[in-house]
Amino acid sequence: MNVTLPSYLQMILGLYGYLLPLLLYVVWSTLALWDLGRREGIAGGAVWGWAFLIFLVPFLGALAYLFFGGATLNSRTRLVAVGGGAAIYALVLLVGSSIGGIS
Amino acid sequence: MFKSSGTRDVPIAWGVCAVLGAIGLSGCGKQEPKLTGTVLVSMADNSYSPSIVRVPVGGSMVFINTGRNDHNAIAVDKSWSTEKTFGNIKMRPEDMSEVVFSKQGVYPFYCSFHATPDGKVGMVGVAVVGDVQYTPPSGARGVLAATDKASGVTRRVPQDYPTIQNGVDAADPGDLVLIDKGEYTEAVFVTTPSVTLRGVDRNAVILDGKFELGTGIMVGGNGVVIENMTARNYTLNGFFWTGVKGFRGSYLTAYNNGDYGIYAFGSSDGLFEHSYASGSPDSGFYVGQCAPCKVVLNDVVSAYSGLGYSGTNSSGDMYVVNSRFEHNRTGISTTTFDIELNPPGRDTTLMGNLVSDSGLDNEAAGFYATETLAGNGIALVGTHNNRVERNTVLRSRNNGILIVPILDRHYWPSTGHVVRNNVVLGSGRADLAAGGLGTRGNCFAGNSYRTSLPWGLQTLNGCEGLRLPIASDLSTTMTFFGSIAQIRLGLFKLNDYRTRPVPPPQPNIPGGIDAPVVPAVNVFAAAKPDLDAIKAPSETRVDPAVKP
Repeated sequence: MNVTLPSYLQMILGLYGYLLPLLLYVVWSTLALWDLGRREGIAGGAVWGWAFLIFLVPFLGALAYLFFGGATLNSRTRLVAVGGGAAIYALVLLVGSSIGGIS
Repeated sequence: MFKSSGTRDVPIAWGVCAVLGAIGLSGCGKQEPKLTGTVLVSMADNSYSPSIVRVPVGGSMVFINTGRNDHNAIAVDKSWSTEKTFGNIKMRPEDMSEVVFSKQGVYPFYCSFHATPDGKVGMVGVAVVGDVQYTPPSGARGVLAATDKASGVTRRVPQDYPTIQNGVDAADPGDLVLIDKGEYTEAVFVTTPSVTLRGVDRNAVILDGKFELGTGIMVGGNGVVIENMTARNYTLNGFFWTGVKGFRGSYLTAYNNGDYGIYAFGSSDGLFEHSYASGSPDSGFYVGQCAPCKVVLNDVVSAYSGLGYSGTNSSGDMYVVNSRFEHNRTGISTTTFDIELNPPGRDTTLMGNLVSDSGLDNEAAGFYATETLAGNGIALVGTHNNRVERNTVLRSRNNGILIVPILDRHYWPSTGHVVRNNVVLGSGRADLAAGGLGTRGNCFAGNSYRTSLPWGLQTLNGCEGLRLPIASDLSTTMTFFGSIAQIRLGLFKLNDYRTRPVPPPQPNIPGGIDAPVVPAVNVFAAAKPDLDAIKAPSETRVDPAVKP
């Protein structure tokens, strides 16, 4: 019988693997709604449409608005919050599954 | 001769000398230290650790209840007891009591709740005080050896012997003690190896503890078989094997007993089969502290208990197959605790079982410890490398199959489990759930289920190839804390084990009184199940509201 107990690093990666998507979901939807709410010169129907999409389609709704909805957010914020978050999550998955993800 | 003391002179000088000596600065060695040593003795469930304790004259033993049951320590010659030093016959978990020894001698002691008063069977120990020769008994208890041959001798109770205990005491290894119909208010101790105790009718040979006696039949001899009878209304256990090699319980019924129904502790090479246990606040069937266990549960039914099956630190070659666990608080639990020997629990195979209605109604007995886990079908708690395959887990109040860590003295992640080809449906929270920190390295494949925690558990943690570190959901941990809060606040109803449902009549042993007498020697070799032949149960009813 051979049991390998998880290391602290593996425990932390497991924790991130679980928590980060929740964080990213909240951050992306919040950014999108905040941007949508303070925009000027957008039709009321479009605001409602995007809001529904952001609320009802997790992750993708917010991403669609931020990239294709004409968001006025500056590009650095968008890059850090969306690209950076996604990249870190990808890194967690990659490292987490390569150190002991396979057994 | 013995006194209790709250404060004593701590042998600081001795301690300093010991430390200095250890680092090579001894100037103390020539001076014989005053012997006032204290030995810590844990009272686990259910054994002392250490069980042979050497204490100098003037020294003491500090008993600490590290278990979850009440315990005590009483000298066989009654010269001292924790009842005197502690002031109560019950030491509850975490209670401590110190016994000081002023006279040299050998003092066997026992726990009056978990051992025979002769200090020979069960939770027993020996205090060796002073410079006395003491050789612990070697081998099996007593001088008799187990045998795999039936002697052909039948001793009838009550025709030849008025009580079961009389019949057992007269029996030699290989004998059959045949018990006639009737109600026996006895707590039987079996120390002779390879004795077979058999009732003539499973439903009419009844050991009844009247809620006063401890255990129906306690076995401390190797190779003992108990068949075809019922034990009920004991304050502790129905049938209990402790510290033996080779045991078998067949066609037994145990119900409304205050701790466990059918129970093996520190025992290996055994089989429980065709038996029924219900209405125990802890577990119906319990196999604890063995490595490797070489124990099989095959075709048993467990109902209305805190846990249907519980295995704590049961490690290696442990099988629970073809059985039914219904209306328990939790159906099946494999658990790791530091308070029993050889943690962690590991290498248990659960296969072809039907686990249903766990925690769903309020009919099961229970106590505070089982309540923390209540509502799960199969819970793998801080254990390793279990194989959970072809089980059907239906209508669990919380989770169908749950994998969580446990924090005792150490933190035990739950890891290395293979969960494959089970049908898990109708769970209140999630059919498949993994929770807590460090719950990883478990794999899921081929299960039929609707919901999982975390999402995508079976997809992202399959049994082949890559596994992503999305393997654990913290909401189960919050549920656990919630359960503890509920317990502390008394927000749940605990049923009295004495009033749980009486089981319907159960099938008798084939062949009745003429069935062959087979002492329990090399049980596992014959009892080890052919895993490939085990089929999944056929029931698939999901809706708890619809009665079958």
